[in-house]
Amino acid sequence: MPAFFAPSVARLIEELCKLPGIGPKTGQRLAMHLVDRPREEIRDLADALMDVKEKVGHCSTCRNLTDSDPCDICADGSRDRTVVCVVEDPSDVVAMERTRQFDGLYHVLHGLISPMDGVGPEQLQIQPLLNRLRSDESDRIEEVILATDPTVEGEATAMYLGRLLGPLGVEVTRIARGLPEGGNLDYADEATLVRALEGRRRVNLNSERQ
Amino acid sequence: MYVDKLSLRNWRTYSELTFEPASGLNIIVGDNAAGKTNLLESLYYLAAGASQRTSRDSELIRWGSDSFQIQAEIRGTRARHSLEFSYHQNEGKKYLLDGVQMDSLREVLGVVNAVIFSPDDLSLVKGAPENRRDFLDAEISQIDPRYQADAVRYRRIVRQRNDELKRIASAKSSKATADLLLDPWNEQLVKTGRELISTRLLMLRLWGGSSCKSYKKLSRGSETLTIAYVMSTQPKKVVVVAGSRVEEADGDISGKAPGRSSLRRRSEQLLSASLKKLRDDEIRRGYTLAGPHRDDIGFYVNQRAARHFASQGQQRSVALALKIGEVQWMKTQTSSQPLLLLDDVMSELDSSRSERLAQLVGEDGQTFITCTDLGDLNIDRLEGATLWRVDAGEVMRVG
Repeated sequence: MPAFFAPSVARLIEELCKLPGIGPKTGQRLAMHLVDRPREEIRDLADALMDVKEKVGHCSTCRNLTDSDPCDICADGSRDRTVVCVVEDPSDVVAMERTRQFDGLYHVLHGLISPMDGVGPEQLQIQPLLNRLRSDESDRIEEVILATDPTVEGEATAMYLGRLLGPLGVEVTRIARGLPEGGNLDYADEATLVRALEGRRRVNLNSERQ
Repeated sequence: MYVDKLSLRNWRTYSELTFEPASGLNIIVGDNAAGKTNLLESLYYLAAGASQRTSRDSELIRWGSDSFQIQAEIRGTRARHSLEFSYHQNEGKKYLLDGVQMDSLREVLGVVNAVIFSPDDLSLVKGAPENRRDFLDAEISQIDPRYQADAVRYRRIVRQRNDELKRIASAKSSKATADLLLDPWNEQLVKTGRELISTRLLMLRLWGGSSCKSYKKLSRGSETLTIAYVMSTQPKKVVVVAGSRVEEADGDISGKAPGRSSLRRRSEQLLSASLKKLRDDEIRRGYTLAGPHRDDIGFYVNQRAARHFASQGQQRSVALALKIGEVQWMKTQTSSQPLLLLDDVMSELDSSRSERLAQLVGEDGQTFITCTDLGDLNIDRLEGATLWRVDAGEVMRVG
């Protein structure tokens, strides 16, 4: 199809089509849009692309994407340094931060264990997590929260980490699954209800003390 | 539950079709390859979200197009619904219920329920275990969306686990490393697997009871049918779900109904034990050797395995009894009569079997029967039936 376009346009379409979620039709639409934009706007876009490649890197502590090392979150002295939330990728950090409820630190795995995609624990940022847990910093990490997706791969990764971190004497927890906020019990599907039932917790504090 | 209107676009041999079937008996006549089976297949697709003939949706698209669409107006016991399934080669499947796009198949399963009878049913008795497993999975999924979700999840776990086994073998990992890598898949396999097994046992038990009764009637009381669940975790042993005891039985749930949690516990024990036992073998072969994906259904006529010892006629009766049991089971589970889809089967059955089938047809549900010639039908009561002729991608009412 690109053969019908001028070579420079065809090249742009081909490059755009390498991006995730962009098919030939969308690539073509984006390219035609870009061709029509003023020169300055295109320069800004190109600069932004080059800039991100030159500046962004992985935080040496939490492996999140950052322009400075350590990243803003790891450098923030007001955060609780005894809790680390383990997530699949940087967009999960953004999702957690939006809640404004979590003020601990993060660790980004950059993927999940998935043998059929050739991804094992050694392809993930697990070693840096172990280093963090073993280091002799003054703020000891007391709890690791496993916040991977409830998919087959997310569960496998959480279980693997649970077993790996267990012997290190740190508390390992898994985020809860179940009814969504504002959800009605009678609208929930069976799978969600079963999960919620599995993740039930005690509310009668008295009996716990007995 | 009735289908009042069916519209097909680029489905198999149909480019565009609108079909408004009658609420009772619909007889569809047409030459071979005229599209009779394709029509029934589309009705079955509404119930199962998949074809009974192929697992590849792309094969269902009419030659030369890139998508198909099935749309139906459904009259349920309580309300009317409009249901639409479509598949596009690049965009995949879409499900619309009452004009609203649904996220997953399980939200639309159960709007339509259907049981299909076809000459291929014999393979349920004669064929490979895979035929029986697929059949069981498809039928339970129709009325139990949870099971459908578990089955999808389980397939993925097995696929991941198999690749993990191969990775472990090629990396020559130590025992401790291998266990650390396998544990997460084992735990998930046991957890999801036990749900599939316990649901299958409970469903098969409910459904097997009426199958065994039907079989007795088909054989005029002279023979007995036993249905058993064959667990790959326990080679050479079976759990009887309906009918009389057989030699291979290691359990029998045909009598008193067992609780779900006890079945779950038992399946979990067996799965965990076999994972332990087969560990080295599985690493060497790179496959998960036992679990619901390797289980089977066993049929016994007069306590002898039907697959090996029954005559062709007996096997045909077993298949028919199984399907009749399925209709009864579906009726009780959904409290409505499922669509009966009889694809070219009347001509193959002898009089006692077609009589039994005709009794089912006689009940107040919507039935579709295909045949090449009206003379082939061994049904006495054709009055009240609506006749259709299929030809060149069109369905015309002829009586």
